[in-house]
Amino acid sequence: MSSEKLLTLKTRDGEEFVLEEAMAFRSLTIKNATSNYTINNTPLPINVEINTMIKVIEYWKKHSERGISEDELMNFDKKFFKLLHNSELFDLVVAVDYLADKGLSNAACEQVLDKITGKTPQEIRDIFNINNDCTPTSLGG
Amino acid sequence: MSNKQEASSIASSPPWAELPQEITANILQRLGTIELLESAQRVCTAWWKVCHDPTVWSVVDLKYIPFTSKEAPVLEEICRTAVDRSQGQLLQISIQYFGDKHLLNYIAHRSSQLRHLRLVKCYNRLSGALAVAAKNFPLLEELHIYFTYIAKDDLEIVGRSCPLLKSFILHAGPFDKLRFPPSEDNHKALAIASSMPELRHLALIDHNLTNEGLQAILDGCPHLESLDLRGCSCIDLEGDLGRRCRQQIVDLKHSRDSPCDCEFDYKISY
Repeated sequence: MSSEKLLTLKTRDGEEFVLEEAMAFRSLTIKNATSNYTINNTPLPINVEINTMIKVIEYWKKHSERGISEDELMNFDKKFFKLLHNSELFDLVVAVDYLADKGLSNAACEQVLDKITGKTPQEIRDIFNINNDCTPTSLGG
Repeated sequence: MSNKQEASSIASSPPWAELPQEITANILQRLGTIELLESAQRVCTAWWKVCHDPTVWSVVDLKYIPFTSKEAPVLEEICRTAVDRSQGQLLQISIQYFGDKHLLNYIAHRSSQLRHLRLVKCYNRLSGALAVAAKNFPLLEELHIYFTYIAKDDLEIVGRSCPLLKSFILHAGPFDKLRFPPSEDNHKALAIASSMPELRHLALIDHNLTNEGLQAILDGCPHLESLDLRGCSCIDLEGDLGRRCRQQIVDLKHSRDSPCDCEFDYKISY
């Protein structure tokens, strides 16, 4: 097998790691950044923390597996998101928006959506710890 | 986790209300129309703002279910609000079992970007309004109509007003068959054939069209890939026409094919 092109990335909190370029290019942000900079082994800085990036890479790895069935992917996704704490999900939503990976972004948004669907405003505030800053006049129409 | 990370995750919950508007909009646009108005927009000021962002209103889907959903007049009001909020960026709308020509007009005058229109069980309440409305939908690609009467002349106007129409579903209602002669259905087929040349998908469920109508469609819609004629008991696909159909059409459903995955029931007649 031919050797895969590798990319070195550096997270916001200073951790460096190496990733196959093909996998890293699931992020449009990374893809566009590399086209604008000469590869001289300087790590590409990305605005994501290492803990969140580990999760992203776990997702990318599974979704890049050859021969994996739709069912297996669905099961993986279910487990993957079930294990995320509220704050991990938040960090993931922000990170994936920055990385511009449409597939993972959709999946993460659907997860948040699941927590909102069928709930009253107060239930939603409780789940997401959102302050009720609405005044009667601000809910005019 | 480092001590620092552990401490911060216990101390504070993430600021969901402070997410950039585009991210919150990406999430909330997936919510149903009614939930957006009744739940999401009342959570906090930030979400109130997002719920007034037109990007969240590109798809509207409302259904009247007797004894279960809100009453039809309330749904109409909700529909108008949703259309207003979309500020002209409505792409897809589905209305089931409520609404009339006034509502359709309201939508038509505010939604020139519409790509997909689905009307279910509007029966006779539209009376010609669809033809008028279609003139405001030049970008329409999909028109799916169930148990809603549309005259053959109106079909032709719709076809001519929507040159990009690629998918057309017309599932007749049982009342149409009782009220109108079988020849009306052939005239409808001719109208489709003469005005919808870009169709890739056509479904005429439970119609009385004959082979003459089918032939016209095959002639007039050369790009047709998928044709669903379930419930069309006057079609005979045994001879040359059947052969031509099978050659020209990739996904063909005949009158007696299984009605299982049909969206709505129809009466099978032999």
